Amino acid sequence: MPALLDRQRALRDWVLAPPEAGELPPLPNASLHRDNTLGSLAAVLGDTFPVVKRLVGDACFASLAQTYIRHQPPSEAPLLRYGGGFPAWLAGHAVGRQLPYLGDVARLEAAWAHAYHAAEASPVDPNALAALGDAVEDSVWRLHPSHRFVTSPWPVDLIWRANQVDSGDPAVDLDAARAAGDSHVLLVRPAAEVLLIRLSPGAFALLMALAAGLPLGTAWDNALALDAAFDLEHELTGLLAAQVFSGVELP
Amino acid sequence: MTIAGIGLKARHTAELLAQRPPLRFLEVHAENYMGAGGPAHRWLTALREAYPLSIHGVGLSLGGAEPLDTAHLADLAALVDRYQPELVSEHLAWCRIDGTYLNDLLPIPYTDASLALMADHVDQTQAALRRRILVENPSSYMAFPESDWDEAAFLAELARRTGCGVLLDVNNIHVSAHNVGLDADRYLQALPPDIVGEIHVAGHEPVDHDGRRVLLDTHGAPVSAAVWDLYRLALDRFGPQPTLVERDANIPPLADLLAEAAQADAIAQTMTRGGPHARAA
Repeated sequence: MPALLDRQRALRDWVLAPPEAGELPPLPNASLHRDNTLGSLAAVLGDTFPVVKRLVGDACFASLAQTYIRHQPPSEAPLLRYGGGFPAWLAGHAVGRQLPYLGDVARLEAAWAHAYHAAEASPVDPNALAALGDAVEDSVWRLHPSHRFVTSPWPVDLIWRANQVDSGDPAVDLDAARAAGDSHVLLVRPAAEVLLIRLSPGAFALLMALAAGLPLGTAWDNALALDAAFDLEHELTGLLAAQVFSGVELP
Repeated sequence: MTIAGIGLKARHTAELLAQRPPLRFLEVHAENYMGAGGPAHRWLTALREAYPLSIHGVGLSLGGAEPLDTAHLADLAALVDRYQPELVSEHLAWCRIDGTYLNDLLPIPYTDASLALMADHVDQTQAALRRRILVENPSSYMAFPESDWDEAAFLAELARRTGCGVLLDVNNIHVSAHNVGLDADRYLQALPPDIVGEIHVAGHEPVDHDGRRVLLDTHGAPVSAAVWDLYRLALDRFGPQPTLVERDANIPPLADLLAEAAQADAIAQTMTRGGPHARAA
């Protein structure tokens, strides 16, 4: 009789083998377990990437998911992070090349899942800016731990919103959106809900610099380099109201 | 008598918080709470104030032929520390090998070697959690030619060696009895009366597979009459243990789940009042 380790490796290999391999199951009824592994993991991917699923249709998604699962099965039992490699894999797949925004929409959904399960932190008081006084340019701002940035040549936030269950299916004008330049989206979950915030190019530059730990003065310079009319107070007030920051300190 | 609990589902959370129906406990899958924060933790923290918890792990791979994943065990210990559940359980199964997690509860042959491995892993888990765990019997679709222990005797010996308890899933016994010919009555009799610390009841569904009818443990249907009968026998032998009405697919409205939980309570009630299966004092 095979040792336990050999039994388990044989079953794993058979469950994850491509369907065309056509090998006999290691034990009768092993296909019930294979169907459960592939079906349950495809359901997990469907829950994490509902917009991708809606864009390609249920049958196409089921097929994509099963191919991906065999290619990159989970490495850990909590599945909250499973599918991290799905956006890049999808972008390189024939379906991703047919719908060139699909990989970026998947990146947005992966970022949403991260934000949803990320650590909690108290937001910075909206009056913090006024309290800093003359030292404001030396201040260092910490973004909420749930934050993620997604940049795309496609209006991924509009595509995402148009494909929510209760959205009423508005059309998204891809050509007009692309002509307006890259979309910069900030995802953050300061309370119970994940927020999608479209950032101006200046605000994106500002937040990228702040997220890297640079002081506000340097971050402001970065924003001004992209947009000479960048209004720091106006943008920061909006970001503070959205509870994007979890800390501000003077060195 | 309230002995029944239900699994916590996101869609029922608001209703549970508002109505606080009488339930013995709420059960959650440990792995769904291994994120750092988010709504799931917010809800569980609020409900923790109203109900005792049962943390049911599905990913530790106690039957895996490799060392336990110590990072996963540490996450489980942190979760148990955070929520202080009344019950903690895992499975007589494997789900992970060489760094690949298959998201299924896969069977092991019942041999001396498997028993030694399971006992080591249960010891290690109980040491890390600093408490006793319950180990759940699996639903079986295949039998291994090398098995030389009955499943119930295997579980009883595992409990004797490690001090762990048994989470007795009577639906799994029913499903396994059909699929691999295990004898449900003898199974209950082979377990010492004092090792069961929780019972699961659930629904299953028949499918035709390779020309044979197989019962699938789907947790997607109401509890069948045959499983309720087996539940009566289990209460008769093991006493009124906390009982989960387990539903993970085709999740019905909360009221329907509560009605099924009330059925378990009613059965326990008739038995403690001296019904046909009343325990001797």
